[in-house]
Amino acid sequence: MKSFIKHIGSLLLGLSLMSCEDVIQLDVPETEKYLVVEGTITDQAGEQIIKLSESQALLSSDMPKAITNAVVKVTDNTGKVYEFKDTQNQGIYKWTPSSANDIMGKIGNTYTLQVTSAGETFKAISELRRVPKIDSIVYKYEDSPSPNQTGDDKPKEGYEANFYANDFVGVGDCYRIKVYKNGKLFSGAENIVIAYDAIANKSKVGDGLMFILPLRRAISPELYQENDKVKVELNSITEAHFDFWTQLRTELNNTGLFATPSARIPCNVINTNPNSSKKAAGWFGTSAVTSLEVTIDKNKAVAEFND
Amino acid sequence: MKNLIPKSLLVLILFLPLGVFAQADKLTVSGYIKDNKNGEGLIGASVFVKELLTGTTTNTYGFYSLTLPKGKYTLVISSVGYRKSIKEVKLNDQNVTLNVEVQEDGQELAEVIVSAKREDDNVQKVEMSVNKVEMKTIKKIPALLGEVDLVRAIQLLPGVSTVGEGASGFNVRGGSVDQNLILLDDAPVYNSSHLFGFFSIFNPDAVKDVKLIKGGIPAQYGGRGASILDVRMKEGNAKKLEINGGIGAIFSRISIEAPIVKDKASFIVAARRSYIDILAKPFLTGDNANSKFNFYDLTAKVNYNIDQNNTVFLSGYFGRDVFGNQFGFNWGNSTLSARWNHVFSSKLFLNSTAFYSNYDYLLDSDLENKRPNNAFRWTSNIENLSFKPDFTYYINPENTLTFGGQILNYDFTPGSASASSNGDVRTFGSAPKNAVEYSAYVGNEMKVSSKLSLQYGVRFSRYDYTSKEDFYYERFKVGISDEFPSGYDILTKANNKNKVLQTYQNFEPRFSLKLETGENSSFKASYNRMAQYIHLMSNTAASTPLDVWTSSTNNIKPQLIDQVALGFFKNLNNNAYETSVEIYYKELQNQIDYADRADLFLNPEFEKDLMFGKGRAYGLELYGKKNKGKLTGWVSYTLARTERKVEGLNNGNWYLNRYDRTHTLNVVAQYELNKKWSFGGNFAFITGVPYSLGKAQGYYEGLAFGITDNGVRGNVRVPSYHRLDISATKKNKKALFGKGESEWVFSVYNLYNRRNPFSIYTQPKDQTVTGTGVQQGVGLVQNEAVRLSIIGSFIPAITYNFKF
Repeated sequence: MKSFIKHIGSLLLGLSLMSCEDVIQLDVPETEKYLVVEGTITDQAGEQIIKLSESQALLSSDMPKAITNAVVKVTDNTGKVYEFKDTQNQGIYKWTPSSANDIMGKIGNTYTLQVTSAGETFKAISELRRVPKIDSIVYKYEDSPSPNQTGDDKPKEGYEANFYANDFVGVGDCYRIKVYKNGKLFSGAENIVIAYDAIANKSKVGDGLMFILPLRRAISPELYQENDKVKVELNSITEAHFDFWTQLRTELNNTGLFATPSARIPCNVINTNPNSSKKAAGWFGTSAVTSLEVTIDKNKAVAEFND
Repeated sequence: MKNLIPKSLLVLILFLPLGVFAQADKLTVSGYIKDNKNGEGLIGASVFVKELLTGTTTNTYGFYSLTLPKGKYTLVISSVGYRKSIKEVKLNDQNVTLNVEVQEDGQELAEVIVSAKREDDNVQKVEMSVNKVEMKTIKKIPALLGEVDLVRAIQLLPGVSTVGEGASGFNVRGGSVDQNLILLDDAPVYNSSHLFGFFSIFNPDAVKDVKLIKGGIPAQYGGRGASILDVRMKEGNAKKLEINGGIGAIFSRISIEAPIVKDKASFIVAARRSYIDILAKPFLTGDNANSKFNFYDLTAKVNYNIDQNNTVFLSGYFGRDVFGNQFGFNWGNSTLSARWNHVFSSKLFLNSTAFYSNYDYLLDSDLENKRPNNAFRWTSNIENLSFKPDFTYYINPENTLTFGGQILNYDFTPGSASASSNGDVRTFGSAPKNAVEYSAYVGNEMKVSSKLSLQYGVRFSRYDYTSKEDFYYERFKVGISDEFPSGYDILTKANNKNKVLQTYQNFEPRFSLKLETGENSSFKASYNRMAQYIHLMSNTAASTPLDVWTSSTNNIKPQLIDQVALGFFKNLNNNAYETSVEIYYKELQNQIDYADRADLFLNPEFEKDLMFGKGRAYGLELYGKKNKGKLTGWVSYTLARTERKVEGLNNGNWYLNRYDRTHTLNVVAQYELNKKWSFGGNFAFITGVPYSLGKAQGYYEGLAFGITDNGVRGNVRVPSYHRLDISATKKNKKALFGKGESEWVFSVYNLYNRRNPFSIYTQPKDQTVTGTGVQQGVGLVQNEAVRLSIIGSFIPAITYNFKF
């Protein structure tokens, strides 16, 4: 809802009063180094990746420095250990399946990450949660798109898509919704779409519903063209990971008159030595994934969405 | 200081005046002082007894009362902007009623000088830390887009600031926005802004008097910690029809006032509406063509002077901001107050007020009801109903006793929402809450000697909170972690919703002293304690119209604010110049801050995200004002600090409030060249507010993000702000159809076109770069620092005002 207010605010300012934003140089001294962890175990076939890097100065445009020579392993609740290796010395630690049937992630299992680097050991725990299937993707020719969909270099006309899926009954299922156009993920800060049960914010009331309209519509950050391949992916995430994404999104869009004070983005990677000053950032996640892809075909477009 | 409720003070209040009640040989002269042109009662006019060298001033309704020994006296009635009026009065065997209508000084002035006071009030009166700004002056201050604005004008006074341009509300002496009690004809106003914070809700044509009390707050006021902004509406011209209006860049406004029964009853109706949407309409297409985009307000008042001893007033305000096309958003205040002034005897004056006040907002995803099966609707409001009698007992010229009380009922709907998906409707939000605030006060203003005056009193307040739900929440400590950023979790407990869940009560002592130190100078000191039972939940840079007013609960304790202020006041050159120096120190208990990632909207468990601590604020205020001559105006400078200390924030150390401003300098000047032309200018310099930035940066799925720890507070400051505005006013003899008066006001806001920073933040860049190394092949979104200027250029405006 806050984003809505901001939208109104910016609309208003743009229209009536000449507000402006200037990019400025800001020298921010770096006061601490954090271990940055980035990795999600999925129930999909293939290798699994965990990236380790060192934090850098705020606003730095350098490439992050890899953390190499760390010992990275994941243990599941059945006691099975998965070793992750950084074969290229790039900070990219991989687990490679021994065969095509060897799938690491399994719904209902709990995974514990352990990273040992420079004498410090960090741990993170995450449960791999269930995910519903996507029932359909429906699209129509949009004659009055929203300014967000057509801004910048985006197509000015085309198709708007909706996806339909139902949340499971039971409070607390969380999801991240990823959208790919012709195989390319919409990966910008404005494309973070997450759901708590079937709604956008953390509340008990969205349980068991069909994903609400703004979420269904969120798969059209821009208008699609004839023959575009639109793929929607539903990733289950834990509630804590939902909080992480919520805050990451808040921080990345925290601008304007109604900005909130910058706050910490949570992290589930904890130093096993509580007295150590060395801390981690980022997230170790686990996801089950379902997806559906359609190719835009004007003959299959609907006249109006069923809502 | 915390337990400063001296019993001796109470004893003093209760018994001291009683000793002087019996006054067999004395008689009373009382009555109303009014403007002879429009019949408006004059507030704060001086009634001076020449023979005894003593006197009094009129109250907010223009009433005065003087009890004197039998004899013949000469009363000199004076107030700024009016001709002196001299009346003989004989007090032989009975009390005398003397109503006086005074004539404006220099009737050629276009504006009626509606606020009138004695020239040396600032030195003579026991009150301190009080600013009165005449509407006439406010109207001459160069205004943003030419819109005369009361709240923006008071921000030019010492001790008053905001978090920035476009932010609603204001901060007084290091207090938060919610610590100001904004009264419109005695009814509290919960959001004083239109268009977020660009304009205030008060129609300048309908306002009679504005008074800001920052310290030494008298016992009759309570409920907020930092200040009282007491706005009184005009009563309406009781002599003849008067129409005022204006056409500006944003608003057009009109007010009509007229007698209903001459000198007995009159009314005023004033309305404003913005027209951005009308102007923008040709440029909007498609779905946006129906965009609503306006704000309006309607102010109305009637009064009826039944007889010499009874006057009734009914006044109301209704204003709203409306935005949206398919998605609608609107908010607004409405107030209604009914007042009865009754003179029991020439010595005892009663004003009783009953009021209703409401602030609410609505968000609706489906205004046109196109998708009833997939809609979202959210409402929130705070509603008041209150009765409050206020008595003034004019014991003798040395003692004026005030006493009264108030019952104030609050109904809170913090947030109620309904969402539907595919026809499946769910409702959620926070349950309604109710509270009743009872208060009683007594105070006395006492002239101890010709040099020493005291004002002392005490207010007792009690607050009964009821949760309208079968359960309530109780906080318990778990320690700060990413899961519990405040360090607290909550338990659910059974509740009887018909029973008061929590009661608070407080004694609030008030004390002020004035000691004349010379012909035209005085030293003043004051202490006050204020208890505040309701709080605005606001965690954004500027408070938003969505912020929720919340009750004190079993978890949220009332804020208690103690303030000590000292001041020296001196007038020079026969009161042509007023100067003052004041210092203050405040201690604030039970201050509310917000944990990282606090979720304050539609979250029934929001109390989990609150953090409580203490605050302190201190500062120095210098003020110099020139009242007479062609050039008038003032200079105000404030050096201040406001801080908090909360367990779990900033490592438990003191940190700056996000509205802390070290230096604030304002220069306001007005120059009357001749009867036709006048000019205005003002300059402001303000230190930037603190904010916080991340300590480091990492990447997650291609997105750069700032890394910080829980509870980091303002480590950096936004650069300083400065701005110059100018205006020129040309008066025309004739307005429309050869009648009345009119004027053109030309103004330029932000003359030297400075891009003043409101805030600085980091945001993702538009372009991505392809990563290497650990981010090999990933499209990386890097961040950049951005400075936001709410007003990024100079803004010229023309306004046409008329009156006939």
